[in-house]
Amino acid sequence: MITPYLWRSMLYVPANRPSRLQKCARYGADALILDLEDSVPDSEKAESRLLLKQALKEPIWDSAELYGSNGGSERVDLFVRINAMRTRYWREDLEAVIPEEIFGLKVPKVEEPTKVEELDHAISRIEKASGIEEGRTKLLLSIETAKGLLQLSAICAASARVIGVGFGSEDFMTDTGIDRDNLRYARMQMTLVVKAFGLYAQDSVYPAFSDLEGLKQETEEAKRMGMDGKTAIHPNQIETIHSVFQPSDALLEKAGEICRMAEAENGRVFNYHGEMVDRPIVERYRRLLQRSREN
Amino acid sequence: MSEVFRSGTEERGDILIQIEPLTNQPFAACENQIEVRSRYESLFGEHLRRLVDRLIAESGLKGYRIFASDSGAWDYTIKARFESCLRALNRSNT
Repeated sequence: MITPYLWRSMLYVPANRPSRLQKCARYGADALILDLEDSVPDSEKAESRLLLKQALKEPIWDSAELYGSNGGSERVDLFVRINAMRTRYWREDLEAVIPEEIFGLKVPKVEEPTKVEELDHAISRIEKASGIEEGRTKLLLSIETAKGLLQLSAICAASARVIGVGFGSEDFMTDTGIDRDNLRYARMQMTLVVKAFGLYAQDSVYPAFSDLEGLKQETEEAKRMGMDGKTAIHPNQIETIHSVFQPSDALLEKAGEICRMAEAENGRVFNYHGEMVDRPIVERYRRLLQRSREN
Repeated sequence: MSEVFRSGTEERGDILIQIEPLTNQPFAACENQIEVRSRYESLFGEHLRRLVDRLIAESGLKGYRIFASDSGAWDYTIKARFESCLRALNRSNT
């Protein structure tokens, strides 16, 4: 099944560093993950949350790559990585960022479907209180433990907000004792389950950010496994990831058809072979075509 | 010894803000002592001072020493760092 989500790369950006927040949209990643979790020490959680909330209100999220031929610019898709639900921080993270204009949350260390349900309800409450359309905030879940991987089917089915799942290799290695060279089975198992649900499958970061050859090999492997994209921890990884995750001919053909139909429908929601297509979906396919032309 | 409330850093793009109660000084209850420095004084010094003054006025702070050391922070960073300091101060006062 072809996922409607088209992010080849997502760049992690620490939410406690103003200079990074100011520049990150210009690096050309397809989406950004603004991180309140691992890159922020406990002593800085509260002030980083406030900093991020203020930053999200600013016009600093226009992607250089998305500048259109009309000279305009577009906001890059933003995810916020909240703190894990076993910490005392995640509820305050939600209160701070849900009312702002974000695409969704990256949720670390997901292990139980009941936790996803609990998260869904907590988000709904904030969306309602903030006057936001219920269901706007999407979830990109991160599997980082053996327990999470074994529960993945139930986790994917736990909320309609779930649009994808990412693999967190560093924590997975810590949890299981498996070394990096032997993660293929787990990455593949995750991808199979995610694809069965028609969701977006995302590979983990490649931590050696100056080793672009190693990054390329791991990204090619992820693509062969059926994954749709990969996270980056350094801007210099983006180009390599993009060079590997070029869209397939089938996907480009679908994008072309959807864009033509959208034009004919003139902004109305329409049915594409049983798939509901609305404005944000059309926009993603339009971007895909634009990127593929540029490449 | 009075407690100092701090937020931010002196890294590029950031601002360090410190707030501490003025003690043993005349008129401490109704005046603030404000010190603002910037690496980019000639470019943004005036704007920074106006913003800091506005944030202090909005907060209703009286009787504090407020120190800001700017390393090129944008307005949203200045507002966030100031609010962090205020929250810490309010937590300590309750």
